Amino acid sequence: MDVSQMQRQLVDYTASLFREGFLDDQFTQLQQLQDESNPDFVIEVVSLFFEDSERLVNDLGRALNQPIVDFKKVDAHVHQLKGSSSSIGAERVKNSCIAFRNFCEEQNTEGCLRCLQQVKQEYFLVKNKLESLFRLEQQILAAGGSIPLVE
Amino acid sequence: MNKDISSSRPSTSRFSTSRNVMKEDIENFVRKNRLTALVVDDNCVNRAYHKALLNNLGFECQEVGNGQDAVALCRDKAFFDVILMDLEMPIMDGSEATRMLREMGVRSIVIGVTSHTEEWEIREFIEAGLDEFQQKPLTREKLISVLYELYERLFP
Repeated sequence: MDVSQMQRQLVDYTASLFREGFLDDQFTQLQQLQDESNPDFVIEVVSLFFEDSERLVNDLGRALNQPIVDFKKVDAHVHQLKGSSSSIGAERVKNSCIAFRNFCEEQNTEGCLRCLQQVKQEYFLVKNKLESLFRLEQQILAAGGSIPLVE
Repeated sequence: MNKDISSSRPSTSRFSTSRNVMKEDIENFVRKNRLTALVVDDNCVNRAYHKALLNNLGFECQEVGNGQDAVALCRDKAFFDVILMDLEMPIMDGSEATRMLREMGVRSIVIGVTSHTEEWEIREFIEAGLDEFQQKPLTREKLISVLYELYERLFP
């Protein structure tokens, strides 16, 4: 595949992530902050999001499997995940967190466990998509091309 | 704040609406006066994002993970022109930290940011001594327009 084909593929792939609701405008905000003085900003902040989310998902699993669930603690973890997913524009993860917090408020363990599964699913989906996006960007750069701007 | 405001404050009309002009004004002002900022947030992703927003405008930034650390830094005589303060944090939240900073006589511009939407929580946060409040996620456009308005108000 030549560079221009890969660039087209990147533009189409990025557009599909927005169209399918995996990403929202906040991701564009991140891209706008990446410049010569901060060339790896998006990958760096998204990697932080991956690390933080995996820690939180594990913490949530542990907290929900206690004989007596501390819903305040569960809610605090979900609040963290909602905050970081919102900051990087991972819209579907953020939306799953909103539903999750409602079940925390109701102190509904079954509902919370279902939401945890959904949050995990959305998280791994968007992680996979973002990794594909970054791989494609690296391939373009390795072939001597530049990353096209997606408006 | 012993900064040469008169010669460096945004030079275009205060009614300028062009985002690019506003960004350039703020960036020139920040770089010329070597303005500093402190990001206070317990979430590492939010801290990285807020720091990048401020760095992008030329601020020299520091970060801490809760209100108590922010208060301790300022008690140690650190001065920040702008403090970006989250509301919900462990150990000490943004309202309490802001209130303590004001009681200590800290005159920094404190911008509160939160994803909370309860009116009473936001009111309490503002009354603790914020100069401005913004809902998360904070965007570059929102930050520029908030800073522009604050500088117009604080250095007329």
